[in-house]
Amino acid sequence: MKRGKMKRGRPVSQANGFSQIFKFAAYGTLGLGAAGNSSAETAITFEGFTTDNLEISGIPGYGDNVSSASADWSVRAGLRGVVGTPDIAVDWLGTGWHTYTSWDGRGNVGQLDFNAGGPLISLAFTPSAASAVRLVLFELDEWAGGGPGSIDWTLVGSLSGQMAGANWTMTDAGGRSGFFIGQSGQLGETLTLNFMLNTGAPSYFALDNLTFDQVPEPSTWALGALGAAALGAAAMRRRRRAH
Amino acid sequence: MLAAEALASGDALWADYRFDEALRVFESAARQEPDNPAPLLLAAKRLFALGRFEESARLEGQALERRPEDSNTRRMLAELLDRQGQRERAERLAREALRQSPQDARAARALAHIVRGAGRTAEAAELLRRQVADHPSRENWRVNHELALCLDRLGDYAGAMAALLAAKAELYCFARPLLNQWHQRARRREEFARALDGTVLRRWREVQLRPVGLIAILAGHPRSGTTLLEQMLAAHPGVVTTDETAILRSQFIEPMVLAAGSTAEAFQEINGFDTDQLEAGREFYFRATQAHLGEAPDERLLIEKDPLATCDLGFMLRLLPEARVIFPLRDPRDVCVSFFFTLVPLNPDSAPALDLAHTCAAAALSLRVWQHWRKVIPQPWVEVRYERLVRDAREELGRLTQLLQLPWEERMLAAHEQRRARGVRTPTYSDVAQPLYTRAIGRWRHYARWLEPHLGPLAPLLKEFGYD
Repeated sequence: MKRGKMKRGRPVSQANGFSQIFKFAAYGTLGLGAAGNSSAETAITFEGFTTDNLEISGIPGYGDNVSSASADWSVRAGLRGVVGTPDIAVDWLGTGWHTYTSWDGRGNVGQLDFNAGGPLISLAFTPSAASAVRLVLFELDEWAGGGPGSIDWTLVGSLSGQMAGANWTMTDAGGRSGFFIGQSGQLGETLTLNFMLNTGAPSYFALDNLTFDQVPEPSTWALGALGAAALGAAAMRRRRRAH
Repeated sequence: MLAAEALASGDALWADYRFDEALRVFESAARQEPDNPAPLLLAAKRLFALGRFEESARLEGQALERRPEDSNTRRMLAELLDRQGQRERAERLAREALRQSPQDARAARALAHIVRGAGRTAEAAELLRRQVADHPSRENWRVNHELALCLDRLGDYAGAMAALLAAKAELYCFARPLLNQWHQRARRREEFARALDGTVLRRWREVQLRPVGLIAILAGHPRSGTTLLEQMLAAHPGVVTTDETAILRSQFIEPMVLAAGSTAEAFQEINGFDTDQLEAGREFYFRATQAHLGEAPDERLLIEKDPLATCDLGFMLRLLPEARVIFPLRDPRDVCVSFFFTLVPLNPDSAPALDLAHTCAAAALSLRVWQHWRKVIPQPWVEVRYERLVRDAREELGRLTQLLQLPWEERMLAAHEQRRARGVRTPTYSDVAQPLYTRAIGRWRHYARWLEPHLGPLAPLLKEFGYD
């Protein structure tokens, strides 16, 4: 059975540049988001892969309890000093999550090989009881020539139910789309990200730049406040440093 | 720019309280991906947070057109329409959502809430009972919570408490860590408050800052009548009110008081602010508040409403030393019962609602800290009693307007009839949309046998505040 795409030479990788641009955008056009987001974060870029078609679920602890950067992911510190997502385990459920390098000229990815995994492939984020997961963003990619592709994705919380979801459709030309989610689960709540193949060649799809936060507080007392951005405190403290 | 990039940028703008710019970015992202409901849902959610329900509902409706099979969006739209008083349409959508996902506890709860709001309480209770029986779910605490409210209204108090305790038991296992956090935060809050004596607070008040107009802080405790009072004051043309924006808490108190290494560290930093730093904080606060309000307060009295402000008043009076303080008082036993029955988003500050012992402890904390404040704060303050407010609003509001130096305004007495640009976002929105009622006075007596074992921390305070 064909497992993954055939290699087509070694194109110039755009993944790093793309990732950086995308991450910059995720933090805001003027870096505002970086100052405004108080949560510790991990972004899995898969750039550490050196071979294709290995089951990611077979790589011990891949993406689990990340507390420092590596070739496979970058991390960011939150305002409380937490780095990465040390209290969040990531489970690449079942089969079908494959390593892949130099994906159609866009660097390394986590391949969604529906040939191996069946029509539904999922991954789960499980935080410790005192933490919550915030799924920030991810990108879906289709290698050119896979036919008109269509995937339904959903984000489902073990307590919150379905939190987000959409259909992603591409033409035969393939390409990439980013999905900004920004949804937090409750403390200790497992969030599952599901991808369901509708149409397209089953081995032509991939995930990249999977970015998630570890947040200490999933919601606010009132419905009004959105996140503990702490820009106000920063403004006061900055004034002191200026002295 | 990819729609996802645009959304990320929009969210960053939002975090900086640049709401209108952020909304423009969200709408542009929605146009870029005409099949993707996510940008619309995100924008709708943000608008909801501002109390701009009509716009939120419009976008939610557009998202639903893009994804009609999404029962979650349908249910959220139903809840939004309910808040706007469009009950028939809300009920129809909620029924459709439940038909689409019969096992969905949120949809069942939303439909029952709307049906109860329409006065068909027995029908709502029956719907919820069927849901629990036919669709066992880990989320049925939502259903049981709503069932408790229905049975309470029907006078079946034992049944109401049984349903409520079942809901809390289902929640307790995963929410217990929140209670530990609440204890830590409560200890810090009380220690920080007690570190501030009259001398410190007077020194803080004497700092010369640029005048910003009239301001008052509406403190209290959740379910002590804060939303009712805020709505009445908001009907006054000389007043503009915030509705729990949490700007002070999220932007200043969390990082400076609650996240500090120790209470002494928090005091050292906050006490050490110079005039420039205070001005920087005030500038941020007023810019963010104006963004929430969608307008400048101008010459009007700005009322900062936050039922958790009692414990955090120390920092607030550092940043806003010219503020007057309003403290709504209500029989703490009624406060506790009402708080226990209110379905709120769970977090460390709302965690005491998980059981009656913590519910009483949290109410006692607010009253204890208020006891301290009324001895030491140099700012003018006033207590407003809920029981007097609903029985003789003219008299009670008269005292309040005197302290606030406002002329009398007859419209305050019919606040529920006022149409406001911003909706009420708090969980108690349906209570304040009706004429004043006195049926909530003494409600605790129906639940005395469950409440009384936990009243220990409140006993001395009941006497102190005249509720013994």
